Amino acid sequence: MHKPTIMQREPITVNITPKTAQSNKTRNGLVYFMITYLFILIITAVASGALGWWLAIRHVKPQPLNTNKLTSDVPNAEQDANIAPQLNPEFNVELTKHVQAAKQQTDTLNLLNQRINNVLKTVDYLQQQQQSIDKLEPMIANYIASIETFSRRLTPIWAAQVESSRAQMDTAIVELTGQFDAIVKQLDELLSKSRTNLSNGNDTILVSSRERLSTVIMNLDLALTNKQHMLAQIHGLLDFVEEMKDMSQQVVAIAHQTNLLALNAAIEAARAGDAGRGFAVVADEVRKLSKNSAATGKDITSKVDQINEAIIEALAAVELNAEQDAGAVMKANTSLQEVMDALEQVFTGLKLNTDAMGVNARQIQTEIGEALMHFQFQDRLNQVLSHVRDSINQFPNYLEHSHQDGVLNLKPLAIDTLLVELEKSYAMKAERHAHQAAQALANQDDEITFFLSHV
Amino acid sequence: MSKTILIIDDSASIRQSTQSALQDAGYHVIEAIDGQDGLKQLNGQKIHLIISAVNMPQMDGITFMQEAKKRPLYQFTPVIMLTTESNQNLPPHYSSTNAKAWLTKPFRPAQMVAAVTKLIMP
Repeated sequence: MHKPTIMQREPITVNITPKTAQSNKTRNGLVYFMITYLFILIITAVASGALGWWLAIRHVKPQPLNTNKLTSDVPNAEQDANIAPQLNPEFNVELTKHVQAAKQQTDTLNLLNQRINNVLKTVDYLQQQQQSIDKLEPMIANYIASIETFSRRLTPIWAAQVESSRAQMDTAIVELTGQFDAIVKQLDELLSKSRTNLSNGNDTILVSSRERLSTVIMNLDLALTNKQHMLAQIHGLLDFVEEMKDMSQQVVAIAHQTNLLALNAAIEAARAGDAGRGFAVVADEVRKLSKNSAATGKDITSKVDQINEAIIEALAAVELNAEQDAGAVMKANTSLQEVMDALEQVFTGLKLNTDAMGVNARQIQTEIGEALMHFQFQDRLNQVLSHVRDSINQFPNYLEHSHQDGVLNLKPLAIDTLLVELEKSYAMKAERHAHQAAQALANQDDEITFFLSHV
Repeated sequence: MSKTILIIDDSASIRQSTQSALQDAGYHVIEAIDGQDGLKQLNGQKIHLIISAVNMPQMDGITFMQEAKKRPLYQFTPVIMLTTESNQNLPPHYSSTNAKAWLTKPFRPAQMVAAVTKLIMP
């Protein structure tokens, strides 16, 4: 009995290169599942074929087969099926059924084969992707490390520059404030001193000077009056001298008369003879006496004339002096009045200038005070710069947080958190305004849609 | 004897201008650079009024005032707070503090002197 050739199919094997990476486990599991499923299908197909053959062979009478028509391919099954009707109708039916089943299973196997090929292609693709990832991973790690280094090295410098600027500005403002403050204080002291001097000391000096000078003038007037009294007395002396002169002239006249009388007495005595000798002696003596008296009278007259001349000269000199003194006193009085008036004008002008200077100085003080007040902006700027500096210092921490789980678990930068923390630190409305305005501008930029042309 | 005022602010220019204005008005002024430094000044000496900024490093003005009020000697000492915010923009919790007055920076020295004159302890 010739047995029909059993179609044998070699089991399909899939060569899979073993992988050690953890990320390949899932892929490998899928491959193993597919292989297992395929193996089960193959076993099922073989078992079905064997069963069909067994069922067929029970009704088959041994017949010589045309071996030329037998091959190992699927079409051979059809050829077998074409040969089968010659053997047995019932067997034909059974055989046809089993051949169809086998064909279906073969189709299924072909489909599985295709799917396995697809899986293999996918596996190849995944392997390529894995290779790419393996290449990219160190590059990404290096890039992240460089960004980390970039932020760690640069942000401290930014923060330091901000802090340096803030400190320098603070120092300069403090210096300026101190200098302006000193100017204000000096102006105040100057104004106070000048006001005190002008209002108290100078007025007193002016008044006392007037009084003292008035006293001097009064004394001068008094001296002039005394001199005039003396002049009057000298005039009286002149009258006295005139009287003395008259008296001396009377003495001379008396002496002359006496001389005449003595002469007459001498003549009478001579007439009297010896009885008149004594009388003649007396007459002679009287004549001598009268001569002496006349001479004395003349001397007195001469002296009185001299005294009179001297007194007249002195009187003239005194009168001249008195006139000159009166003129000088008048001039002095006039000059003093003029000087005092001029001095008073000067003081008044000085006081007016000082008052005007005081007004200007007060204005300057007020303006400097305003400037000092505006220097307080430095405190606001201080706060703003401090907040910016602190935010810059925080940036590397946020960067580190985004990649702390490795390059394959990168997280986006928590920019919203950073912005919220920054906004919380603000102490002024101006800061919040600037923050919100900048954010609005940034959001506005995000809303722009670009229409890209596709080639 | 002149009355003593404590001024607390981390800004040197603010301390300087305030001290100048108050000294010209006849007050004795002592300074501190932040809340912690301010608490050190509350060492038993008589202080008739405290002027404090709000935002300062180490310890802010609100915290300083809360700590100062715990000390019996300074429980009733009037406090003037200096802020960079205007009255409309003061945070709600500011109004619940025991400050006697809030002064917005920048302020005129005359305003400061007027407030001090009005609030200082006898």
